[in-house]
Amino acid sequence: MRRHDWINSMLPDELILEIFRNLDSKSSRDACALVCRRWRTLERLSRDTIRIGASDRPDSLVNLVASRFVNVTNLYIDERISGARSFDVGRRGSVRQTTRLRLMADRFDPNCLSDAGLVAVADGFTKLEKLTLIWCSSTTNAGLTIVAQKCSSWKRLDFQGCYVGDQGLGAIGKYCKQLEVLNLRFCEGLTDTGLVDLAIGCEKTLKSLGVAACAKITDVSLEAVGSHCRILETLSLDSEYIHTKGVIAVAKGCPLLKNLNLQCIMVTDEALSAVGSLCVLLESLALHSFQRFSDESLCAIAKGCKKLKSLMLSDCYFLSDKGLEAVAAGCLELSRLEVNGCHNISAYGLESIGRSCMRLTELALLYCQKVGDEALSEVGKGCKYLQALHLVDCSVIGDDAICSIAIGCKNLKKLHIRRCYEVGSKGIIAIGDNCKYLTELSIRFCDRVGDEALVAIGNGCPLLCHLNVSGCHQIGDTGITAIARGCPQLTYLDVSVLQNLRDMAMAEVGDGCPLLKDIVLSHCREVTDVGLAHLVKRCKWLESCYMAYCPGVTAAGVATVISTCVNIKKVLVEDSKVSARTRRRAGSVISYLCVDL
Amino acid sequence: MIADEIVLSFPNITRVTMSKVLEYCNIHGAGADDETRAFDEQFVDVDQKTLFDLVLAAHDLKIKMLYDIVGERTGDMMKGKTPEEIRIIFNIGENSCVDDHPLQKELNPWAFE
Repeated sequence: MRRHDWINSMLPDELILEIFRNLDSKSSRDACALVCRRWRTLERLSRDTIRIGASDRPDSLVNLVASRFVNVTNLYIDERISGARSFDVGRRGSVRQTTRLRLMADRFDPNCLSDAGLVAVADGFTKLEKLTLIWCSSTTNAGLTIVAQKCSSWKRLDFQGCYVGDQGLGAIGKYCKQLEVLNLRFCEGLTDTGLVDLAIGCEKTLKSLGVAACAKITDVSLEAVGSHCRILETLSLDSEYIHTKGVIAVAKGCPLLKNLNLQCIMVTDEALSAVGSLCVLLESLALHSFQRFSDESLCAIAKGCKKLKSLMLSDCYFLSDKGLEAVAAGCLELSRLEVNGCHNISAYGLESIGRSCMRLTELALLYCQKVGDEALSEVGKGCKYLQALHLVDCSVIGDDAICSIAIGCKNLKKLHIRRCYEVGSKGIIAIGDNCKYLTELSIRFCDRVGDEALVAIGNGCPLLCHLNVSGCHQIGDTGITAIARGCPQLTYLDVSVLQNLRDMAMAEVGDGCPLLKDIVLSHCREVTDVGLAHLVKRCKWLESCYMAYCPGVTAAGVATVISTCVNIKKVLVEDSKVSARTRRRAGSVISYLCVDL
Repeated sequence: MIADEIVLSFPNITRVTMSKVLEYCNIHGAGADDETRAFDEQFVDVDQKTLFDLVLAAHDLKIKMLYDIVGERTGDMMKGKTPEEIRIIFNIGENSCVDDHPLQKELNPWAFE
């Protein structure tokens, strides 16, 4: 009896469109586009975001994509992404595709999007709201000026490495009256004139501004921003040419500032004190490479910015526990804290955080050699809602700290530890026993951790998606098998440099983790083609496979991976292990190891 | 004069579908918990015709929660499948799939060698 196609006869276009929009994965949406003509049309209508890489005919590519995907609101043109295809229009006008394989030795220079291409973007994508141009080195001021006039609906512009000049930016200021977000990176031709014009032109709508590596932008621009852009909420600056004066101007003029991100070595305490007293709505603050900041800044922030939720301090050499203590006392809403390379921060600053910041959900400590077990214990006791913990090169932290975190923070979802040599199995077993919501675990180079730790994780963390045990020499088949049997949701596995791992473990992973997308097996001496074949046969959705320096893997194994995994996007392996046939089939996805072994 | 009863009629919704919708609304009236989650799981485990009747009814009646779960169930039937598998699941005929070989090649360049 012939069965009925209910979905197409019952559901109207809009409802099928909505179902497509809710499909998260690209591969599912791509598959739906191939089911039947109606679904192909609808799936194309459902796309709102498109990413175009480099190709040899970018202008015609833009026209083709615009005609096919008419509802796109978000367009990225990124000339850094190399395309593997060129599009030809065949005799009958239909698109016939010829595949071009990209090999490392055979790089072609793509033609970049021209001004005509930019005009095609403006004409073709009528619903565009967000445009990102990355390294589009052939677009000029002239193109941007024409296009600005056509695009009064643009809300967000990102220009990176493009020859955006004052004239272009001025045109945007004049015509794009709905612009809310502007990000400029490596736009070296741009001077204050252009940015000032834009600040004046978009004063009523601009909410977010980012300027990085634009050497000619100075305090003059910031003063204009401070005078005109009253509703600015986000400011991100990465420049050696911005001084205290500029930041103070913004602090004075933009009372709604919520997010501030500064990497400006010339800025001093005075600027942050101004921010502390004037920007009372500040929610997130990130300070990078600040040699001129001291505790005074942090105390000022702590006093004035009571709504602070996220604090990131990187390479702030003069900051000490005193500043952190002030933050703990003043910013009770703090939920995210990252301290990176601030060598003077040790125990009591962090202990204060543990005692006062009950809402902390994310903590990252990188290169903090003085932070020890007691400090983390306080965090474990006080921060019940902690979800993510990152520890890198904190050489004094050991099992006691990890145990306290495990017992106190039962909601822990992500634990990333790297090179904390004192952490061993005991701490990780505690995590396995207590943290059942764990989704990500990374214990790279913690070489005291053994199989028993992974057994505990396999038993206790069924939601685990991401596991990285690279460099943990004591882990072998038993541990990985336990994970394979206990964690069916695993999508990322890095077991590189594990000398004791054998084919049996690979087969177990194949059996237990069908959702695996990425695997790193480089330097696994004992893994051979057999284990690899078992793995890829079951893990059909594998997208990347790194297997360099594996003497047991041969050309046959590589060919098996390529032919079995239809979604494979990246393979890292020695050049000599790729046969001519495999090269033909999949040259575009293989990244060769360019070192002779 | 105000009538004692107000009659609403929905000509596009059958009696069977409407009674399922009312069942859903009654269970969810008190808010979500473990029991309602269990109910939801077996509620959406129905044949396709019934499922799509519910999609249409939930859409017309603007019942967001119901619309979301039946929509999600439909989407789940498509996730992680190849086009051929999707056609089999939904009984979509081969004759509506003209012209797909070149497209298929775009996505999987070596699938047809």
